[in-house]
Amino acid sequence: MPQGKRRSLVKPTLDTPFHIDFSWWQTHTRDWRFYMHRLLCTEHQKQFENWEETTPVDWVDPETAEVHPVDGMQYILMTHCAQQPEFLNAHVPLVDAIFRVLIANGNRPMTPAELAEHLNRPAQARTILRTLAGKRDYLGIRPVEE
Amino acid sequence: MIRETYWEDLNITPEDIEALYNHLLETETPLTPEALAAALVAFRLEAEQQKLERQRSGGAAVYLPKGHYEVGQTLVFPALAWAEGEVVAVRAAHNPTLPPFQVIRVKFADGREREFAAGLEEHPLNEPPRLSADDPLHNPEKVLATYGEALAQKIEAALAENEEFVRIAGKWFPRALLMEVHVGFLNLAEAVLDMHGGGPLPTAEIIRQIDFPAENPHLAAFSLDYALQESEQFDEVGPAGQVLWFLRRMEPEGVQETPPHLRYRPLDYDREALTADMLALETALGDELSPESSVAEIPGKVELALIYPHWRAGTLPLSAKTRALFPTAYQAPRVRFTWVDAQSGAEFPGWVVRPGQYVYGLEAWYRKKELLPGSLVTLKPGRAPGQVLIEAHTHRPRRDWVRSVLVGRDAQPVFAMLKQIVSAEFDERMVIAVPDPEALDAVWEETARRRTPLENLVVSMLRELAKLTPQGHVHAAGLYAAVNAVRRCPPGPIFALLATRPWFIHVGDLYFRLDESAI
Repeated sequence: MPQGKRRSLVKPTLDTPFHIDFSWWQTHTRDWRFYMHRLLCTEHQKQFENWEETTPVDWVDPETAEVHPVDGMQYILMTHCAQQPEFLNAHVPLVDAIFRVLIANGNRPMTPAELAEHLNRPAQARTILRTLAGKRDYLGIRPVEE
Repeated sequence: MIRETYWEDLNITPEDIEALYNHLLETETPLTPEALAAALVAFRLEAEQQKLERQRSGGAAVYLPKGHYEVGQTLVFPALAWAEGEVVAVRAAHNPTLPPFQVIRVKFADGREREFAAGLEEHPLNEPPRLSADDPLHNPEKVLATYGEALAQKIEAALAENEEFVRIAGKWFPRALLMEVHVGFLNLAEAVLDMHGGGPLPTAEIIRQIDFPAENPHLAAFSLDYALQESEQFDEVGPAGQVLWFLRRMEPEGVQETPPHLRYRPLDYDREALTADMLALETALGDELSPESSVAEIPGKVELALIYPHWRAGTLPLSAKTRALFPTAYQAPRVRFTWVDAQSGAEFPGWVVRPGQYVYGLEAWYRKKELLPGSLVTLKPGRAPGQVLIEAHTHRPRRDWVRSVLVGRDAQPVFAMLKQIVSAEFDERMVIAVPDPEALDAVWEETARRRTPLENLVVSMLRELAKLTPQGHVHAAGLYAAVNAVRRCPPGPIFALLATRPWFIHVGDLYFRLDESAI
């Protein structure tokens, strides 16, 4: 999984890929596990009822075969809950919808245009760019920096 | 990565020839240059792929998730821009949802260490990296669509110089695989064709009748085809994609040799002098000796005005205007086809004579339809492959005043308006009745013997034709038809004279008059 870095000074464009920087969650006050628990399907919300730490699982990147040890709950979210049809169809704010698209696709970096396509909002690529390129980091969604 | 001009610049190498040879050995089927071009593109792309992998891996193993690796091993990672790294640790993976696999820790040149799956059977990266099929230079279909024809020509040229290959009816095959054909079989084949009026017969039928051994029918047919082709007694007369044999000695004389009235010794002339109207008329006339800029696609129908040489030889031009209507061939110089009378449905044999650029077999039909030089003939595609419909716009015979050519006592042509029996529509500008063709033959011979310059002929023809109209104006098409009543000549040289000599006065719409005072 891509590592978190400091935000680049280069202004993102419609062709800049974005991903979830999980290191952002560790350095900010937002409780990653609490947020993640809300995204689980009903069955797994029960399984992780106490949302305590779980044994890390070796997640294999579908494109590079790179292995990232991820939290067990995050792994279940990415490989099971996010693959359920209702996960992407939920009526949620734009930033949450973007987060869900990235999670459902194994956090594969996507440009605003690709995200708009996945969200069935092809006309909103610029809105997505304006939102993600702002000064504030929403849910750790940041440009991928080489 | 294949460079932009890779396919354009490609030269056939000995490795290519060997690959094509092996391909033919494996398929055991004779192939056209187009099919060989497809094989060559596949072979070249595979070779480039292997070259790419060798270059990128620099000799190191390419990382695949399904592979098993040891500490100290160097790997290259296609998905990471072919970065190279060394395995520094191996551990068992923890993932209850996947079959057991390992995790290798790899140290890269920049000092970073990253972990990768190993021994993992299910992963897209297990397919080796390929040249991108999205790139038109890497996509076989797109390469063939753009460069296929040029590649086929290069293959054809390369194989023609190589004695290990033989060609028949446009298909290539390794000589080493051919069966030996005893001369006795050729004698039998000759007898069979003789019994069938000379042909045409397909190879399979000859094989059946002469009892040629055919355990492998493809190989037997190709071997016999090759033996027949190499013998001067036989002529392959099938259209492209079809092999048909004919006994050469039984082909009509006008097919074996270009009829005397169609023979032309090319003349130098200034094409730049031709006006746009002249070039348009030249295209419309459809003379087989005119330069071809492009061959039209199969037209719905083509209308032609006969000129005397074709009327006399029982032929029609094989020109840009008509070519698409007739069957063609990869190699065969003469192609047999069937004329179909569009009015009666009667069928009779026709020949495409590619070297002479004419189609043959109409002498009796012209006579039957009572056509004149200048009569209009319409050609249409036949209902079946190998058929061409021909139609004369006939009507009840009537006597009409028609421009006619007679031969004077001095063996010179004389033009006059005479009443002739007319049975079909004609082009008013080009019609010339010839009451005595044999007498006109003497004029042809005399013109050829004296080597009368074309310019002299054009002047005398214009003078003769001008007498037949009150204004003394003659159309360029009429002049072309008149010149061709005494010698074979395409429109270009005649029009060039009209355009450049001061004694030919253009009076509009390609009508000319002769200024005697300027000669």
